[in-house]
Amino acid sequence: MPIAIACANGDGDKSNPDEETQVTTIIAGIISYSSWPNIHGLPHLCLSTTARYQNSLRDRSTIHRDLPYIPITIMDIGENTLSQCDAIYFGNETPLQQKKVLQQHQSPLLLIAEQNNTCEIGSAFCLEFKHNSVTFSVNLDSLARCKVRVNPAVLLLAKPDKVKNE
Amino acid sequence: MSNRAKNSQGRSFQKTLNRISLLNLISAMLVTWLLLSVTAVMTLRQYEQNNLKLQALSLSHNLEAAIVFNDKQAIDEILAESGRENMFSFAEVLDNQGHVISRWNVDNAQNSLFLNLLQPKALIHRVYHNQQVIGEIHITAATVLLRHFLWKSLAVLTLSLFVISIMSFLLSRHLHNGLVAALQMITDVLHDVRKNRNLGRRISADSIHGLHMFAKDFNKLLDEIQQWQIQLNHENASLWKSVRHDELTSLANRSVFRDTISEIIRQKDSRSALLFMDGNKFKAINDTYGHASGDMVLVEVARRLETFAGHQHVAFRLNGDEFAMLLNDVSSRHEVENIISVLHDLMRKPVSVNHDTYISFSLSIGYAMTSDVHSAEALFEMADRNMYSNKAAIQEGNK
Repeated sequence: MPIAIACANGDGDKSNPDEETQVTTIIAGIISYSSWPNIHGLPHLCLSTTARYQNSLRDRSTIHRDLPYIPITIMDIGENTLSQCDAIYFGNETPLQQKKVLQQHQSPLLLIAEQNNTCEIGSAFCLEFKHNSVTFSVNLDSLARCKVRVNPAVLLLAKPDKVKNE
Repeated sequence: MSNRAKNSQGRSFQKTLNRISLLNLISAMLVTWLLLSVTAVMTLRQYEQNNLKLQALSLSHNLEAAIVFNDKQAIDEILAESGRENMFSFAEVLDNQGHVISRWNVDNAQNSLFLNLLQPKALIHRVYHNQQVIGEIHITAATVLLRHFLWKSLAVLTLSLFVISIMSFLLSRHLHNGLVAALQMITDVLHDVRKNRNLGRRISADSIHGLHMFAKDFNKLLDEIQQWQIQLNHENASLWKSVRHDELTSLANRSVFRDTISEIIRQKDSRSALLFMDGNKFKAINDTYGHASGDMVLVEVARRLETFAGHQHVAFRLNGDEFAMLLNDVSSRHEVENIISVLHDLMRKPVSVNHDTYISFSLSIGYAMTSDVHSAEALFEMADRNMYSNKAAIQEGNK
């Protein structure tokens, strides 16, 4: 049962500065409220090269505070390269590809999709861009399976998307 | 009239007592209320200050995630939700750049200056997330509780004052009744003593200690006054007697005689007669036996006249050996002449001076009937004339 979180959605490939800040705020927020049982220190966030906002996610100045993760760029979502990731920020990878990554990964892994509008399979969190604001939704099924513990406060901020529920 | 005046005095005395106790109570109540209220307001303010801290802490916990995600809508909702519960009168949330994200104000935020002075200080609380400051909450306490407390305490004060006034009125009336009655009795006794000179009145000993002493002293004073009055009356009586009576014979004197005759003449239809009596050859008795014996003769004559006069007639000593007698209720000259001859007989017995000396003594007697004259002078004159004609007759007889 996916829950949508209202966020602005910029149509087209170009990122805009307002949305950059919002995306970084949301991703930093989700990761700061998540905890991995097997790691100490900051988690590694792997950024897909196909993601529109991968650059702003690397830049701490966008949110005026320290990023709660270490950004890593990955060229390929093959199995070997993903072993160092604690979280992955997907670009245009399909929901099925995202699901497969989760299934193949042994250790806890938090998946966030930039372009998975339905959020029915694959990533635990999906961004949505609508009317210049960015929202996110939660796939509770995926979240349960990823073994990463997320503070319920975050889930409360994910308001149900009424349009989607209808 | 005096009774009514006394009653009104009694009432006003009771009223004064009531007013005093009421004033005492009201001032005591006000001071107590003031002290209690100040203490309570201070405590309440401290409590509100702590409560505000708790509010800020609770808000920061609720708001933390929303601030991290910069979710203005969520922040607005959380603030409004707490605000509607009257947790605070004003709150605003700032991000770590100092920009206001959300603000909440109580609708009727217009507070009096007084309440603003009493309300706790505004608080600034920093919101942390992972050891980093992510924003600030500025919060001002609601004054609802303080306002309610002040109004309630005022209402309770008014109510207690009202109830206590009634209670004190009833209680003091009950307690003062004895006192008022005691004072009323003292007033009554004093009034009676002053107005009616009723010195026999005394205050009954009272159960109230201070008044008991007072009553005792007062009664003692009355005793002394009464004693003094009795003595004065005695002295007055003896003075009166000495003024009205002849010193030697104790018969009524010349001034009484004059008053009595004037009074008799004024009574138009009096049936009285005046006798003038003069000792015969009294000078010779004085010369022969001495003045002391002469005086003894006069005293004995006076005694015989007095005895004869009894309650019906009055005897007077006018001067030296001159006597007079007013005969009351005599109907005729004949009766008067009879009386005169009885008097002559009475004088016939010699007077004993010392043990062995007897002195013979006689009176010349003249009379006048009040019915014959219209003035005292005429009465005197007639009696005098008759007396001298009697004296002349006696001297003629002796020759």
